[in-house]
Amino acid sequence: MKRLELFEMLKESAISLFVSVPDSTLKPLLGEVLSHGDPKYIACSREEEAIGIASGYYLAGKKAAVLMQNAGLGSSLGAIMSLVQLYQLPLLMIIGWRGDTVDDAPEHILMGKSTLSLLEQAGIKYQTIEGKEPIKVIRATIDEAYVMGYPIALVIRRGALE
Amino acid sequence: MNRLEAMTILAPMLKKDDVVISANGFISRDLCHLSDRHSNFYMIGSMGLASSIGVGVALGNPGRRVIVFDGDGNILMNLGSLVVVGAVHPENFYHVVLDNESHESTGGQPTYSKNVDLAGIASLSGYNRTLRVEQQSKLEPTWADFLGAKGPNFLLIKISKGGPPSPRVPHSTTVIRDRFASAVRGLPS
Repeated sequence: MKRLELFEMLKESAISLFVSVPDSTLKPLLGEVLSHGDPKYIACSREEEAIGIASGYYLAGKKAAVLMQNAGLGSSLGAIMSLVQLYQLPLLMIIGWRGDTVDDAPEHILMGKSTLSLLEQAGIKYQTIEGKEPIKVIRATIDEAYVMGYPIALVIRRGALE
Repeated sequence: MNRLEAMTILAPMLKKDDVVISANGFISRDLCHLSDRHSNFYMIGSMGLASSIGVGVALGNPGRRVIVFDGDGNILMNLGSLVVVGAVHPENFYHVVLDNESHESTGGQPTYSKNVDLAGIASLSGYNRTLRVEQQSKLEPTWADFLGAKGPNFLLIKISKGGPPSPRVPHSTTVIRDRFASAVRGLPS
């Protein structure tokens, strides 16, 4: 998937803010976001903070995307359950999937293996992105989350973005 | 001055257009009990995130003044948000911390806030005006100072422990969400 194509689609989906603790899997998309400078980018201290900002931004009538690594998913589950799901808010999370295969660095292996089952356990809808998915399908997934009011995770495999 | 005494002075001073985010526990309960407004977001879970939600609202609607009622236990969980507020610098963001050096809502267990200068951290992080008040008689004039300059501003209110808890927030989370979103977006509720 071309980084620019994804970036343009997010802008067309009315995403007007990116909040992030960055991840190397998402480096191509983050590069696009940072080089354009619009929409605005906020470098958060922790992933829960990004989720809080995105939730407030939505309550004010706007859409933000949270960009993070799957390591941050573990520390964010409380915020997702006791804010986003509790208040039935839509939330777009774009999550870099470190440890998707066993050849990754050791600190990523356990979370990498657990990522999809954690999402399932928490009742968070997700779509894995291998790189060949039609951009329209991803767009429809995001739009549905906003209409229905639930969080959605796009889980990006290493190498899916070019 | 305890928490409820402070909130009893502050709640009537909120203006109709002020948007408020209140931290979980007794602070949200007090606010709801004293002044239940559609433009109050009672954060009943997600401890630590009131300041971050407030930043999101402030950026989403720069035309409205956003006031966060936080506690010392809450802000100590999310000190990084002070750095983000300083950097992002929303001019419509006003951050109040009610500091009783304890987690009063869970039984008064201690925090370490007495060892640190929270207003000083906010100032060094890039907040515009940072104020500290302890005397009840000074709260009202200090509030005017706090709101009298462009944000992001920080007001530390040192309070004592104690005072009765207010009743629980009676509204469902979807009611809190819908009426708050309508109020912030300027839609009819």
